[in-house]
Amino acid sequence: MKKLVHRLGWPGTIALAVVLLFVFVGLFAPWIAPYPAQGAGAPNVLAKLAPPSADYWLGTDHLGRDILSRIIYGTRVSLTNGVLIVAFSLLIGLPVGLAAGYFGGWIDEALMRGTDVFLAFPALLLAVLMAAALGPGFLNSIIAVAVTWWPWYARLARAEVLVLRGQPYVEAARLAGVSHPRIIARHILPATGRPLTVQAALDVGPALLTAAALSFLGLGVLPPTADWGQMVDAGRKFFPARWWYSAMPGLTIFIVALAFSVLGDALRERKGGTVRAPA
Amino acid sequence: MSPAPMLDVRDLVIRYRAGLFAPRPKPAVNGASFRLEKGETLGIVGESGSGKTSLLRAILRLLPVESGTVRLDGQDWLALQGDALRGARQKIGVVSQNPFLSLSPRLTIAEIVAEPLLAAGARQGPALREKIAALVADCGLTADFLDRRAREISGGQAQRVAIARALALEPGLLILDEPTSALDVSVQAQILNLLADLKESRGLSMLFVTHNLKVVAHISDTLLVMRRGDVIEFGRTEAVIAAPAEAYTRDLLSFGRKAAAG
Repeated sequence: MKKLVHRLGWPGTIALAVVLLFVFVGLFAPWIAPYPAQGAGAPNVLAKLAPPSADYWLGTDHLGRDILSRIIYGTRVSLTNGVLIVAFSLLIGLPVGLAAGYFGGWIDEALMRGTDVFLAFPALLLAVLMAAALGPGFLNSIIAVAVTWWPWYARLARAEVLVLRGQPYVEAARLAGVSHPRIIARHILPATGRPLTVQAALDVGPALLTAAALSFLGLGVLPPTADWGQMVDAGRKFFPARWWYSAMPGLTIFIVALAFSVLGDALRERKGGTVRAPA
Repeated sequence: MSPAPMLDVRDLVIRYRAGLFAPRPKPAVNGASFRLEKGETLGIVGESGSGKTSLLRAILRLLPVESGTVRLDGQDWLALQGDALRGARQKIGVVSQNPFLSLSPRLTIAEIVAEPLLAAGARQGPALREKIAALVADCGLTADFLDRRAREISGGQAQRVAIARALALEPGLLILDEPTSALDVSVQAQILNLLADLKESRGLSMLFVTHNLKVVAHISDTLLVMRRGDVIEFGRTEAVIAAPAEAYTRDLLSFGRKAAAG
């Protein structure tokens, strides 16, 4: 514990705890939520729009469902959203960046100019366009955001590879007759891992935020599945008189996004990690 | 006609590309020609910027050549491409200047030395491990080193590992790019002695690039002096040192003597 605090600092440790808490809550939602059925979407019309109370800690929504339970169930959607967006982006961006940086020349030009096309659009606009074209839904919204996200990984991977490619030990492998795929697998990929994982950890927060924005616009998961962004949107009609409907999920988004970003910063600047290669 | 030399370079011109509309720069290597006979050592000397590194990188096919020919053991070396080139690289072992930078920080010594063997189709297993241990032993290191990483050993030890890796596929030609300049003087002597022993026991030809004439005079049979891209002197080491034809070589020599005296 002491070691962890030393490595990440207090803000980073707290952020890590918050992130782990949400992961735990997401995993065990049916056991943690006070009203699991309502969390999953069952209406409860007897208690429509009830303010926060001992029975409903964070109040209820327009169908009388417990907001705390809805938020807990929404954690599953939001976290998988964030993680899957980053994973999909890595899946496309990493190979593109590796190939561009390693082979250089016209391959580099072709791949990176293609990447630039995606970067030329404002990210959220492109995501909205993609989501509108694909139609709402869980997987579609992830694909829509990942399309705007992967170019950053491609650029980052390319920059890392450009440095590595000139390293004498990579050159030595080439001169020893090692094939390109093997050099990439043995020398390039392991060394790009660290900066890319840090970037990925940093990005889960913003990715989840973008996904929430899409579902706020009605382009994310479909009701009755609980989703934070969608809850904020649904609560707008009752704002400010029934403030808790929008505010509670909104606050949750804020906390999670903040935790991921603080954790990302802490990871980037962490102390006492593995020793880096000299020079 | 004597048997084909290990390396036969004729009229080699290397020029770095400038921008599309920039005037053509002076070539980095301007028509270099020399031969390296089998079992001999050729020393290439010159100050920094003389083109010796460019020449070396071109021979290693890391730089494109503008014109000229390179024959390796009678084979047209510049014509090889792709997989053929990758396979043919086995004939040349390379040791570079900084031993730590040329060894991957993530791999163990055994993995580093195994790399060329695996690339050439060897299988993982006890036989491979034994072969690696033998190679490392030939270079003066015990088997304890096999599971260490490059950052855990000294500069001289790291250079021995680099030499073991270069010799893994039993190349006929060993190319050494300033192999001792990153080491301190006593270790330099050990590495030079190791190289001399290996040359003897394995019948290696060596191409030894350095700016240190004293080192090269000690180890090489023939000597090539470069200056600003031109080969200004090429001949038997004794002849070049006894009667340098160019003022530049005399300068290099006298500098070497002063350094030796001081």
